[in-house]
Amino acid sequence: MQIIIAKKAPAIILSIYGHFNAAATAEFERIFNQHLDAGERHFVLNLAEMTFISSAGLCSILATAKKIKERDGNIVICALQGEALKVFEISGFAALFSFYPTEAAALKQV
Amino acid sequence: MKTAPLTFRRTSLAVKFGLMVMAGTSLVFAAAFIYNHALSRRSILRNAEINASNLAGATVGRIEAVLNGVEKIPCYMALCLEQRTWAREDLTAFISNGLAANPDIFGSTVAFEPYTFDPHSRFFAPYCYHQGTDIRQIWLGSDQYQYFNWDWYILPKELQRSVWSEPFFDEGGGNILMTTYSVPFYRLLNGQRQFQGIVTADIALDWLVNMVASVSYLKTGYAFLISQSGVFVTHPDKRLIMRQSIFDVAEGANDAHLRQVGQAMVHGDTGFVRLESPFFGKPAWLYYAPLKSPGWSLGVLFPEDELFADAQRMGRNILLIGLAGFVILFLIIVLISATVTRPIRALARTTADIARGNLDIKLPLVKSHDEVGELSFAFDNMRVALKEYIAGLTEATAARERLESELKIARTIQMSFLPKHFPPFPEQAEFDLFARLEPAKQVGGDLYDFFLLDDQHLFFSIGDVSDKGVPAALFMAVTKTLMKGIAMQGGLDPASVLEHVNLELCKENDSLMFVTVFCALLNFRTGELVYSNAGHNPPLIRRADGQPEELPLPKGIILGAIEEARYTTASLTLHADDMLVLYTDGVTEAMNPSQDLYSLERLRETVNGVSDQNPKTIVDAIFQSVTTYAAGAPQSDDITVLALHYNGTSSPIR
Repeated sequence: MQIIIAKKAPAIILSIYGHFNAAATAEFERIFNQHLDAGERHFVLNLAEMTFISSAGLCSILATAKKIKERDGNIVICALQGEALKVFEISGFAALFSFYPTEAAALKQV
Repeated sequence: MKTAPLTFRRTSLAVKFGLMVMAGTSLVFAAAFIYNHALSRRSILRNAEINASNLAGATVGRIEAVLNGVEKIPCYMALCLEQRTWAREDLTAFISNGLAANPDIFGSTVAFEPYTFDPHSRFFAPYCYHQGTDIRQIWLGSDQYQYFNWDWYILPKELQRSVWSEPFFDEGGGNILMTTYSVPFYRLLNGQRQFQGIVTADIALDWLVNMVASVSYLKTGYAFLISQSGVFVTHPDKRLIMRQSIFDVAEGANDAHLRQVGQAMVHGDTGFVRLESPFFGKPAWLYYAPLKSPGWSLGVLFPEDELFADAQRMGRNILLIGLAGFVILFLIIVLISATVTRPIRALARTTADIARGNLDIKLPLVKSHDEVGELSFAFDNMRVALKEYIAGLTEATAARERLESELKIARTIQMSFLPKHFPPFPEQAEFDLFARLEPAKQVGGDLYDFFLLDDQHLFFSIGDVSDKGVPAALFMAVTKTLMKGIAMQGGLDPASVLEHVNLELCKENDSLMFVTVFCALLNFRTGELVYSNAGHNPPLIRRADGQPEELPLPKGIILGAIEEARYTTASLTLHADDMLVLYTDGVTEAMNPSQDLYSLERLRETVNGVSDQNPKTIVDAIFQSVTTYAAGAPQSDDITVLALHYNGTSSPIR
């Protein structure tokens, strides 16, 4: 997995490439914690290029989202599609997040 | 730490260094010494030759001066005899006067050819000689002594020139060594030069013997004289004089070289040669030079060891001085080396301490900025680095051991909460159930469970905690305990069970852990299956006559995420020989070495490929397939499979 980080005020955009499985969660959480500690509160998760997400990946996103909410921030997901979208739906995660078709749309809502 | 004891005793560096330097200097010294020795030998030999030649030259000169003086008398007499005819008295007076004027001459005669002086007398040879202070006269010639047949007469007559005779002992005249100089004289008769007789002068050679005997060279070197025929005229060994020749000596010693030398001497050559042993019994050098007029040869002979005695003594002294120098040099080198290597030795001792594990020891302070100082500095750096490294290693080892022990605890917790007796309900013929959980090294927190609620309901579940290690294992234990507790309190609705469990888990869930759970309730009397799901993978269902399909699941969020989560129950009916396969994502996400996932497709194929109806067979087949696929790649997550085979309602309801 690769994570590309971009800052587009007022949010940090994290684009995830490749497989988001158990092995990738540590890196994902480290990056998030780093930005949270740096004072960032608004995040957009671009999952357009994510080819696969495991339950560990889902839990990692969920745990991160909970932390952000505790600090009065928010996180939205954009460009989720295909198999990954199905996984979100089956697991019930779809109910926990706001989804937007594009990065631009997501940025308006954070 | 184990270290080899430093028991090997070795030659110290200082001594080794000293020996090496000594070996080097010894070689140079030896080469210089040998070269110098050879050079000085040659120079000594050249000097000896010059000295001996000077000595011989001087002696020869002195002898020849005397001999030349002697030669003049008979020559003058011969000249006088040729001028006129002499009366008998005049002649004897002439001889006697000449003798009186030349004390060097012992005796003299004028010997005429037979019947020449006096036609009636066969012999005419008046001989005058010194007798004390007087001069006596006798007549030579008798039937016993026919003088004209003797060498002293015949040789000059035949050779027509003056001749020195071989030395001889004059037995009549006091037994002294003599030699005779014979000069022929002639008269002109009818225009022809006619031989008349011989004038002789006898001289005693005692002065010659003394003169030659006075010549000495070095300690025992001496001079000797040999005659034309090689007979010793003078020699310190009196037994040789007039009795033996140089050739006799050569013959006696069987020395061909000496024979050649003798020939060269007799021939009148000059030379400087080395002789083996005939005279001194040891090697000696001989310089020889001729005495031209009598055809004799003077030799100056001296032993070689005397010649080189000084050089040898000097060489010995140099050797001794050199040796003493070497000893001193060696001591100095050892001393210097010892000073240089002292810090190294101290370092070695300290290093031995370090090797024994004492890393706090202070290294000896080396102030010098040379290699030893650098070494010491590097050693100290090494010691500090080693200390830090060992400290780090100890810490890391402790941490790893702690982690490993934690993982062991986690695994123990996880495994101890799972039902492990199979078949679990042997008295229930309606279904067979088998489950297996293979924890990953780091423990993923998978769980499965099954229990009977009453005599017709089986509750079973599978789950996966979203964390690893001890927290996940504890969370798994809590989930499993809660679920069982709630289900046992009349949880005939799986959705309701999940909601209750979720509520409990959401309380105080500070660690942000979640757990996916699929749970179901089977009425094994009727085959009715009700189930609910909280974010777990859809189980597979293989109908008796069909392919494995994913179980259609109601939506339901993972447990522990939000308190308000609601779950719904779905239902279906199992028929005889239907098979349910519950699994966690450890199966589908198992990876091979190139990091490809095992995948749902492969799982389906594996399940489809097993025709056996025994759930254990299918579980084992799945594990076997996953292990083969992973091909040694490390297992990153727990792998759990639970299979349930429904046998149908053939058995009567109790």
